[in-house]
Amino acid sequence: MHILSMSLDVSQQAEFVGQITRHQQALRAYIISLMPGMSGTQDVLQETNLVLWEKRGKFKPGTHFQAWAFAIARYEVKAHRRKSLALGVVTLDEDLIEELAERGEKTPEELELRLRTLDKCLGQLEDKQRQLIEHRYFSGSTLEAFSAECGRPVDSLRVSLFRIRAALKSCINKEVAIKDLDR
Amino acid sequence: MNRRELEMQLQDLFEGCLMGDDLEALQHELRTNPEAKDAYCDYAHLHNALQLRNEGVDSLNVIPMDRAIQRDQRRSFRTAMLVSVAVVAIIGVVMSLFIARTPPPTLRFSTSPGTDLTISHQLTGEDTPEGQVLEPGSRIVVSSGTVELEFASGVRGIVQAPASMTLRREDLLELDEGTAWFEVPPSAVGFKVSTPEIVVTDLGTEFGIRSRPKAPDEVHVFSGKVEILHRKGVKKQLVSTAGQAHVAGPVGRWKETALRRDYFLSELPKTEPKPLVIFEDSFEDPDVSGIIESERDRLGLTNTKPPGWTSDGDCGLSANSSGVLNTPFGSQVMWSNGGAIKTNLLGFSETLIGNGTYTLSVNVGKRSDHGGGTCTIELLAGDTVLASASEAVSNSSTDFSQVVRLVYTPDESHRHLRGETLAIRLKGEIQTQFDNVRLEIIPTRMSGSR
Repeated sequence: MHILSMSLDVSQQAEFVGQITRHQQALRAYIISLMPGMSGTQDVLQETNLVLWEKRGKFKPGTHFQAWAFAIARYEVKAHRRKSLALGVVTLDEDLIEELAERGEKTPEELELRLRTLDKCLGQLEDKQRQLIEHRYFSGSTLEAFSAECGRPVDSLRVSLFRIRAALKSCINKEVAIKDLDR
Repeated sequence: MNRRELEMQLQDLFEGCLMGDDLEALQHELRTNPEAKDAYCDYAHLHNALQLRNEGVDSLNVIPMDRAIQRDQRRSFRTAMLVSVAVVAIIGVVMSLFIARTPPPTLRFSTSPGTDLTISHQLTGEDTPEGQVLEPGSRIVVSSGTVELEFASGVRGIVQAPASMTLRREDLLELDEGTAWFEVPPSAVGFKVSTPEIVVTDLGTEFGIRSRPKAPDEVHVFSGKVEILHRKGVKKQLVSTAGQAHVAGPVGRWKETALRRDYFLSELPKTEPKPLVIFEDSFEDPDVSGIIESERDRLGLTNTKPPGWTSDGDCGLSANSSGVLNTPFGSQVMWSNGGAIKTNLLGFSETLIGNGTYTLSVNVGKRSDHGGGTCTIELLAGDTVLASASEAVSNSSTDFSQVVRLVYTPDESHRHLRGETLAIRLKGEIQTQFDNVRLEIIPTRMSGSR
């Protein structure tokens, strides 16, 4: 198995693996912002990781790993997007999505902070609200399926989720702004 | 676009349900409004964070090494192909290592003889399921017969027509209508069936659901237990155990009812149920052939009706011998110039029963020189119309090949009519011709043998 002996020595390989692992959340966030409303983000992330691994010999230690990884992710999303559009999926224009994704890029540290803050903000929700949003994301259901499951009309769920998400966004942005002031 | 509209549309975008003009409007807003761009980024981060929190990142499998090795091997394999063709025999063996195993479908189904159904799939293109399989988003409408469902999870179901359902997930079936029986193995506990009125969650069991448009839904538990949730009113939720049956009552409460295994089938019928003809008439009596129209009035036969039929308008019999008709069902037809023709069926088999599906069919036609219009056929119990069907008589129907048909399955709303005498009523206009009236019933199997 010569896969572990391409160009990089053992310590460089360890650093490379560390970089990929450290950037998983950021890569995932970037891919999600490039694929609004499309399924398959986990597949694209895994494909991106594979390509990063295959091209590890071309990576120069000390250079900007995130920019390099995001460029590969962008390419993988394009390939996935082409397949989805052929299947009739509709979404925003490619140039607009790329502009928005670039605008929303976050470092692993910024994302970590937001994740920690999310936990705190979820704690401020009422039990019913927290159950609803956790169920929605845990099950991965579409709203229609979730409606069938929990016995509430789709429109009512849509409005409830909207309110919860708005509350969470507001809470996270406020908390992050306070922490930025503390730095 | 105000802030609320913007955020609602962002939510719909990320849910994958924003399209058409709304998508265009959002796109325009995002191109032109920096605040909208920030809102998009905020939304994407929240969506990502919530998903991450629930799914997490599998740090131990960031690079799936099995796939990495497989891809590397594929590359090596391609190179080998260029080097030599002498290893063809080995290639066969190596290739077999790389042939992707098709995952089993989420649900396979089979049907009893005589089943009539339509399927539509959400997946399109090369992902469209082939054969008798359903994937999430697939919808199946069973207009007659019985369907057996075999989920990859091991859940088995038998659904009797009329039925329509959508597979939402491997563990969630949306049953809009139908009589369905399910057997859930311990490994698939949590399997759910949702109807417009109720949600049933299996807790390890065998159960049946009846969901009909004009009657309250019912849940019958034969073994184990299920959790049942009423979707309306006070949304009462309870656990129903083996031997219990519940009807979804008004204002969201449950009412206990008798357990009925005979409503459900647990195996596919092996033969097509044979219809029982309970009435037929092709209007051959009394014989009016050989009487030309100009003679009818003189002979008092203008509005002659066959025995058992009455009318409230201008109706009568005509024969092929009149020169303007060509029916293949005997030689006579009944015509109507706008009146309704009615017959009351007599006898035990001609009263309404609860277990069966009735089909009333009538061949309709027109004279070669004039006529047509719209005709209506009705099935009644006493004076109550159970079902009706209307059709315009086609200009080409001089050969009586046009059939107007109605299918009726009694439901709870007509329970009080059981035992009432059945009747057939035919209405026409501009001299519609009727022939070959047939009423058949396919009795529902009376026992759900296991």
